[in-house]
Amino acid sequence: MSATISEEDVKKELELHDELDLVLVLAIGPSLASHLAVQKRAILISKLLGVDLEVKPYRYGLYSETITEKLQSAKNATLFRKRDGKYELAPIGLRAYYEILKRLAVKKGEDTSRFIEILHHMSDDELLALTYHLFPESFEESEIKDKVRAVIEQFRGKGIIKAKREGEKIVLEADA
Amino acid sequence: MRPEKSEKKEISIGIPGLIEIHYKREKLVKAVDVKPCGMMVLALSDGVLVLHYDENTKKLRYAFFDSKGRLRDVGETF
Repeated sequence: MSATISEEDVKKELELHDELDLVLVLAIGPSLASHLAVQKRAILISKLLGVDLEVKPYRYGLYSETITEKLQSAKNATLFRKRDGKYELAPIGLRAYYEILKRLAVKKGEDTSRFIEILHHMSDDELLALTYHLFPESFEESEIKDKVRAVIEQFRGKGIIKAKREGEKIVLEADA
Repeated sequence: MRPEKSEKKEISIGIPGLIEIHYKREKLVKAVDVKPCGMMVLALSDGVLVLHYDENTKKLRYAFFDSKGRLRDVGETF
């Protein structure tokens, strides 16, 4: 079916959606994704791209009611759908995923699109560790904070990145 | 033995001054602004460095993931 979807079809479909819908396409990605993974990826991507998204600390860290509503919205059924309790992109949504990545690489640079691709290789534990570490308010209402903290501590100060302050300046040295 | 190539990038984040990132990479990276309370990512040769500056605590938090999405290092400035 995807072979019959033209580039023009994808462009027209993208015009029908707001930027948060497109963040969700990036967050679901090419494989079946759990609700937790979609939430965490979408929060990270929206922060990175500067897309407004209201989030609050909840049982598994930062949570967005808007993301849940959009995942269930009939308007988005052309892009993604629920299967076996998880989310997957519809054929045109998958084409849209690669189109958005291509546009981001041009507009924001390869770093952004590479990060989004790497997000899809992360396990749930790593996604949780990343969001909790970057946004410590995630711990506030969390039922799994001890588990997540243990993962973060396991990787703290491994020496690949060295950070220091020099007056008003922050210096990061990356051995990678 | 060929010396390792080191590049230096200065990125303005507004209020606290500068973040300088020294890294080994074969090609130059485009500068990306980190807004206060903003997030940025930098692709390095072996993975991706994720940064977030928290204006309230004045801390820069970072995490490094390899290209297979495995967490390798986390930390923060004080």
